[in-house]
Amino acid sequence: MRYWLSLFAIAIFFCLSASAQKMDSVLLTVEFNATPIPRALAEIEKRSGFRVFFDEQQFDSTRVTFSMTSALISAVIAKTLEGTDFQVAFDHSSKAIFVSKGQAVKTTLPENLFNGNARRPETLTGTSPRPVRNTRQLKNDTAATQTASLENKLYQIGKAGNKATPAVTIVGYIREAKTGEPITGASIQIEKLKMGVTTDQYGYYALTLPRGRYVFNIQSIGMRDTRRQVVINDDGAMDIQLQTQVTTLKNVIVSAQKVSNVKGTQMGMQKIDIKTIKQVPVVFGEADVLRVLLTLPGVKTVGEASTGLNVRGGSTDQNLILFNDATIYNPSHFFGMFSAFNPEVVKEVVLYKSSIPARYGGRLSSVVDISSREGNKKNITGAAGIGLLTSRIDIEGPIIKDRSSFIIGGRTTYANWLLNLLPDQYKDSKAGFYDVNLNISHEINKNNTVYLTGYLSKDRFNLNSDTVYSYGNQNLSLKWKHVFSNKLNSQVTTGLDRYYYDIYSDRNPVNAYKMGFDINQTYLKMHFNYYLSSEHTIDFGVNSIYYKLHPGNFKPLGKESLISPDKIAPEQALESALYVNDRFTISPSFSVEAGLRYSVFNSVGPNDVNQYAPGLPKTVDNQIGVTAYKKGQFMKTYSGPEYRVSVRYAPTENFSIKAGYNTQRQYIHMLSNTASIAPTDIWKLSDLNIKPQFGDQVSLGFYHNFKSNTIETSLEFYYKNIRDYLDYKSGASLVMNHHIETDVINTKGKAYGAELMIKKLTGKLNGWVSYTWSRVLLKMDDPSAGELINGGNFYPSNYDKPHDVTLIGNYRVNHRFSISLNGTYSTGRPITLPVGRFFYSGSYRTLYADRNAHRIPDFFRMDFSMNIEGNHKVRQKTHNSWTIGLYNLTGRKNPYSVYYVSEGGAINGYKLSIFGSIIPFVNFNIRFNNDHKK
Amino acid sequence: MTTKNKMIRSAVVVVCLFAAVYSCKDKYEAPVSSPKTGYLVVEGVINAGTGPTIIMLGRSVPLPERTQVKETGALVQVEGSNSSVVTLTEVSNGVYRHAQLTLANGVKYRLKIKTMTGNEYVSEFQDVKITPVIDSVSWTRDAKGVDIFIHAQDAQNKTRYYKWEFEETWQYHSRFSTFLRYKVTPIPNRPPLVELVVNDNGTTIDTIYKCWQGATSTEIEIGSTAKLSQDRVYLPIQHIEQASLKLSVLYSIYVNQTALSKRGYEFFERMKKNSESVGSVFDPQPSEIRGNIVCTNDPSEIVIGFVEVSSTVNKRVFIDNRNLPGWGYRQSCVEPITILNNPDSVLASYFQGQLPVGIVSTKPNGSIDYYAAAEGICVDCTLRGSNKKPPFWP
Repeated sequence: MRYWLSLFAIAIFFCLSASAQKMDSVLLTVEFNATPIPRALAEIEKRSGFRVFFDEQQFDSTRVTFSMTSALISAVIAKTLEGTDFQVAFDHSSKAIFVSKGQAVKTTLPENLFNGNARRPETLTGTSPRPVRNTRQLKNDTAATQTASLENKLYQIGKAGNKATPAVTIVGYIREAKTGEPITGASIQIEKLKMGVTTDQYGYYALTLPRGRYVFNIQSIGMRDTRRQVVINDDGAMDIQLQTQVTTLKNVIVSAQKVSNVKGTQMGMQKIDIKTIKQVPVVFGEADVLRVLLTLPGVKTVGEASTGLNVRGGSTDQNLILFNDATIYNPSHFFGMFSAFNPEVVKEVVLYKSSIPARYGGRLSSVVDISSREGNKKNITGAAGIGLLTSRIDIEGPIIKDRSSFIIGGRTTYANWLLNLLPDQYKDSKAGFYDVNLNISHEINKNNTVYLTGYLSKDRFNLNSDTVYSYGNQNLSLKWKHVFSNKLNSQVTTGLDRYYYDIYSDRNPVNAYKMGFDINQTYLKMHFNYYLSSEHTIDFGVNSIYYKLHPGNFKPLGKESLISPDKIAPEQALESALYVNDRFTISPSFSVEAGLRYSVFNSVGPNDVNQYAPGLPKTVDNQIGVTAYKKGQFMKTYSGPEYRVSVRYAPTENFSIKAGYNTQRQYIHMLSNTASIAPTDIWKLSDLNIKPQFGDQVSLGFYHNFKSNTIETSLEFYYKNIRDYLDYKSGASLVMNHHIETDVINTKGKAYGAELMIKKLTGKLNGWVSYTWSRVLLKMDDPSAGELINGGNFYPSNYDKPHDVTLIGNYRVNHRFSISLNGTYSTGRPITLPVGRFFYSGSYRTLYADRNAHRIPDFFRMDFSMNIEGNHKVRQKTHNSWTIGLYNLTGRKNPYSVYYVSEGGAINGYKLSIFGSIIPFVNFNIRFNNDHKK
Repeated sequence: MTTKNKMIRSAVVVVCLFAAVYSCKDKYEAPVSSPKTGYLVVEGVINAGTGPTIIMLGRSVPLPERTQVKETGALVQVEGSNSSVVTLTEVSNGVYRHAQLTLANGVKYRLKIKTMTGNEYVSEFQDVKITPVIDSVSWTRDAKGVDIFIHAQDAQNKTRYYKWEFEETWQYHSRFSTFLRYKVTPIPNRPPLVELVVNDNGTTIDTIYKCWQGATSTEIEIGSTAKLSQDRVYLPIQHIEQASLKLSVLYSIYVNQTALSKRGYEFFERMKKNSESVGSVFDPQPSEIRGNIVCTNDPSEIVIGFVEVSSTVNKRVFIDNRNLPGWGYRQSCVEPITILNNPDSVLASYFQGQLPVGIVSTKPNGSIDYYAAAEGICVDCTLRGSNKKPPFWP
């Protein structure tokens, strides 16, 4: 390894010295026609192979028009800058040209960079850089990390002369300059080495690279692209501040290396930031985190009243939905019309649907990692939004300036007016929800930061004052991030997650009841990042979850009630995993990421477990006894390795091929016989009678970027096997069932498909188009399990929609006005329709045969919205914006289901649509800021 | 009565919620190609108590067909585990009856069917269940109407699963009572002679004023007390909308109660879910229905039905409109129009389907000069029911 590195360093050195001789022999042919100077300089850079440094902000809108043939580079530059007060300086050894305003750059080249006697280069700004010390001395001196905020300054990392190791590590945070919030997923690209990294969710990055002088190109969505010039002599730290793009009215977009899907090893990963989410029109106008995920290839849902995600053929319970490390079991509000996440608090969403990092586990299909923003570390600011059905507010600010901050957000609904529009008989109906988020982050010192996250949500609805349903999520987590050294850092998280639902009905005093269900989990996660070398980045860690489930508690309500209390014994389990993952960059074009996760699941007593005769179907009749287990006793242990491997080969800058294989195990299952997530769906832990689910997936992807990486295209193929997926038996009863294993069956599944995506995230017109072709087929052919479904043949699952096309488009007319349009088409979902009729009990009734043998009509919908921003004066107290739009623009009555019901003796067929017309919406948002100085 | 069931019912309402606002439920017939089914459908109870045993046999048909196919000419027998055999006779197409079975204690019974095609079907042997009596049928009233409840109990806590069927009968009156009528004398090849005449003694013509309508339950009404500490039933079985015709004069409901086995209850619950409790967002997936009957020649053949061996009890109650102040039923009718009593006007009124309702003015000689007439349906109740008073009517 070291050998290769040295060779690499030597190669670079040779290039540098070779170029120094050829410097003046480069001849250029150029032709500019009303070209802005920055673009002209960029063009020169591209053609000459010289790096041209300039600050595009210093240029006004001057354009140049001339052509030259076989001219010296110095002449071309001079011509370009003719009539301006820009000065040029040439750096002969590193093939760099510095263009600066007013005063020429006096640049002396660090020719002896590699033999340790480099002089400190002079800088453009005239302010000399802060003395930089070796980070090994810096460890306890937290104030010494330099913050790089200027583009034209040459930053020095480490003391020159130290050459004990060929490669050094540089770390730091990338933050938003104004608020101090860390920027996740910002990319640092080093063109010279064809390498790059992205920051983690704390804005932290670590780069291991040979000593030398580099230009870091830093980019992040929503931030101005920028670069930093760095001379790296030794290990060190450098924080980088970025400017938000929105506040800059006169910006010039320089397209360069975006964090591209070509570069990363990850495949099947999508990251969407809140700005993009807010552009997508949704019903009732409230930005919806999960609904945007549904526009991505490979992500589907059964219908509009459901935020349940079906990722690459997985069921809705096979997604690990994490909100700042907390597991959210029910991510929807208000009959699935809203997702449980307040858009004001959310920073971004990452969806992993193919190569799931080894640090995540416990679900088969995907990980949806939603991270919330950290509060503004400089000033108290806030935002509020008012919509037709919901309102939201958030306030954020520093607790200790620059070190700790808070953000608190809340949302509530006033949907009762909608219910009041109903006929009188539903007049007593009520529905409502709220959610509250709290995040506190505190930087104890440079190496220690703690984060506290709290989340609370509750939904409550009753219809016609009959039965009242309520459910909610409650989560609390504490995370400690510790930096051991430039190469090693850790995150330790602990927390509590709870999901519950309650149902009560008191209309009939004899049968008045209350029923409750809850899941509680306590977890500890320890995660370490180790930047071993420029080739190897290693993640490892351990996590453990202790589950306690109360599967059902049925109680009488009121004195007259005759309901006999019934309680299903609580279930306990411990799920632990140990994992290690190595990101191995073999060469700039070839890299491998390999992870191994070993998970262990212990079903823990006390519990009385039903025993069934071996080899016979699990039915009540075949029960042979009950085994009692003591408290704390391991009743059953399941364990196994999970492999996560992906390989990337990038033959060119703009093209790469990736392949991956991964396996997953899932020990907690949602049991449902409804098509969408219902508030009464229960979760069940694996135990002696319920096996864990197992899934594996192979995937292959091709990624090609066009037009200087502004257009990303990807084509991914996958094939997936699912084993022991729990399906229900015909007529299963899942609530308050003491022997639920008799009502479920293990099925096999296979899912395969191709996903094509074309994405443009910059420019006035941006958005994406995706097309998915996929199938999801299930099979239940084990005769010992009792009945066979569809004769033991493969049958399509509820969410098998072979064709799916989505368009998300946004056009920024100007900085204050943008319009968005989205469209989606998909094949109708499979449905079980009656095949015949018969007369029974005074009515014609339907006869059903095979499951999911028919389909509902195809789905098509277009939505439109306009975002109108108030003025952009930075110094005003409030900024406001309006979102106005039309959901379901064509007014098409998209069927959610087709059903046949016996009414008054006859069978009537109906088509049910969730939205049967165009739905207009309006939202008013306001941001306030008590800081006037900025 | 499971929570799931309730959930589903409410979810249907949720959908209606959006339906009401956005009108999202439309009639629709899916272009389904139905395979030939023709499965045997068996309905009925082997009556262990007093009364006849009636078994109805039919066939399932493809969905688009509207016909009811009866299975005629079958041999239907009740077989005991003690090898006793009683044969039912076909009283009408597909209806097989025995006036009174005598079932022995401690013996299990089943139904055995041999169709004309030679296939043989048997139900599983079932224990004889004795249905507890219906304690009472009560009703409550609120702004939405009247809810009728059933009360029953089994002191031994053994019954637990119940099924009800009911017959409703109600008396109603025409909007307009009358003592006038058109006397129609047919004349060959010419329009009839229609004369306005006064009823005998000038009394109200009751035969077109007082009528009765009836209906039988079309929904599967089942209930379980399995989750209760006592086997006590208190469940709504019928709801009558405020201002409904049913309660405009006098209403009667005749409730029939049958004890079910747990499996029988599950069968009907599933059938109900499949055919009545569908159409919600949180739709339980429809499922195949298998009862307790198999075809002995071909065990894979689908047979629909569940045959219980159980006694049946019943109760009748009346609800009088006088106990429902402000019920508010009113037949919507155009106000009567005034017609001159001459042959042409009377004939025209007759042909328009009108009937006379009262005298507006008389001539000095006492004969009718002008009279009032209304649409027939508002005067003659037999146009929408029967004027035959049921035998049980008070």
